[in-house]
Amino acid sequence: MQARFIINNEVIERDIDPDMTLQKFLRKEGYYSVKCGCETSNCGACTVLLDGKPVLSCSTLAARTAGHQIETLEGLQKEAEEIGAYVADEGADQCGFCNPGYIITMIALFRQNEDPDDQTIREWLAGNLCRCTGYEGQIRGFIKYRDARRAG
Amino acid sequence: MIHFENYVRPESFEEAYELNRSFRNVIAGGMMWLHLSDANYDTCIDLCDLGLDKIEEEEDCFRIGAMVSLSDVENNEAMKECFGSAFKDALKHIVGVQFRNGATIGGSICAKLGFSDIITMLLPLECRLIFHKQGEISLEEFLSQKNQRDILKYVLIPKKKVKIAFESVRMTYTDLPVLNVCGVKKEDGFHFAVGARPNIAVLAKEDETVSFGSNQRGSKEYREHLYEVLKKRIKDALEED
Repeated sequence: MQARFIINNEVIERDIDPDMTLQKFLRKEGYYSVKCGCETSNCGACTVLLDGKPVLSCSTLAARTAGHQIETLEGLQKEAEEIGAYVADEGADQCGFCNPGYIITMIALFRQNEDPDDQTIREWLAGNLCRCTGYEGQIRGFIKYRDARRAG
Repeated sequence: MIHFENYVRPESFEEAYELNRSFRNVIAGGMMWLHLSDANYDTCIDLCDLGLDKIEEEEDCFRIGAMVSLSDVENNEAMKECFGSAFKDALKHIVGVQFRNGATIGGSICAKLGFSDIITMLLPLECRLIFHKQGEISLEEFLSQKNQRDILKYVLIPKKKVKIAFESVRMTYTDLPVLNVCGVKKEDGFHFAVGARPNIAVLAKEDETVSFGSNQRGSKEYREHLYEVLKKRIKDALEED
């Protein structure tokens, strides 16, 4: 089937399989920040923004997203670098596979809520799994990013 | 993974209903659980163009479209005002924000999953469902029906001022529940909905017996014990208020 997609503000038209997931489609198009993690709606590594909201691309039909705004980390480089630096400062990167999912989820949170409390940050990260760390490094990093924004 | 040959967005409820008469076709809600199935279908029916993505506040109820996401239910300000934090308490454990942005209330109800938190939450609120052909029926009646292959359009939640509380036990924060219980305090006492028994949720008054079973998450005996614990927590919370 033919469908028109808006990915990182770029409009493309492609012939896709009707049952193709958004994750498979985006990776086929070269958006490799979208990871193939669990593919069972659990780990958050495939998170992208759909009309500004974080969704699991492994569980989203590509056909359904036609005409909607899709954002991947490739289109959010400046914000990603800024937040990612705080995560790195806390030593939260090990294999780094989960990082794109974490960071894009946090970008969505900070767009929606400029000053989230610690509990809100933890709740938003509940859908992102990390097999290397104990999560504390990432959470410290995002809290420090929030604190830096508060301080201006 | 699920496989289908065609993807259709019906332009009317009748078109969706006719397509769904065939066992070879399937309706896509949020697709969160459905995509894990390894079934083959001819056509995937997507209801996303039928205007079912809104929560409307009416005089006596909230009218929730079947395609409204669980996040929108969780964060709706008018519903928070009416039901306090109960919906947030019931939904916050469902995987994560990303999952709840995709999962729909219609898909969550129609799947009739035993571990569903939303069904347990909605049962004691006496919510009603509006289907394309069957019209309006209670959630309780729907849960006892065989699959009618009808199209769920709206979920109606009465705007009664009730005291309501939700409790669950899980192995980890975002795991499926071992047991979930939602309670309301009415004039004739406490009413509970009990889900993840592991079967589909049922309603019970305080002194009524509920049947439990065993699965990998917990034994029948453990669930019987947990039910008493969660009932007490809910009663304490409702009486405290």
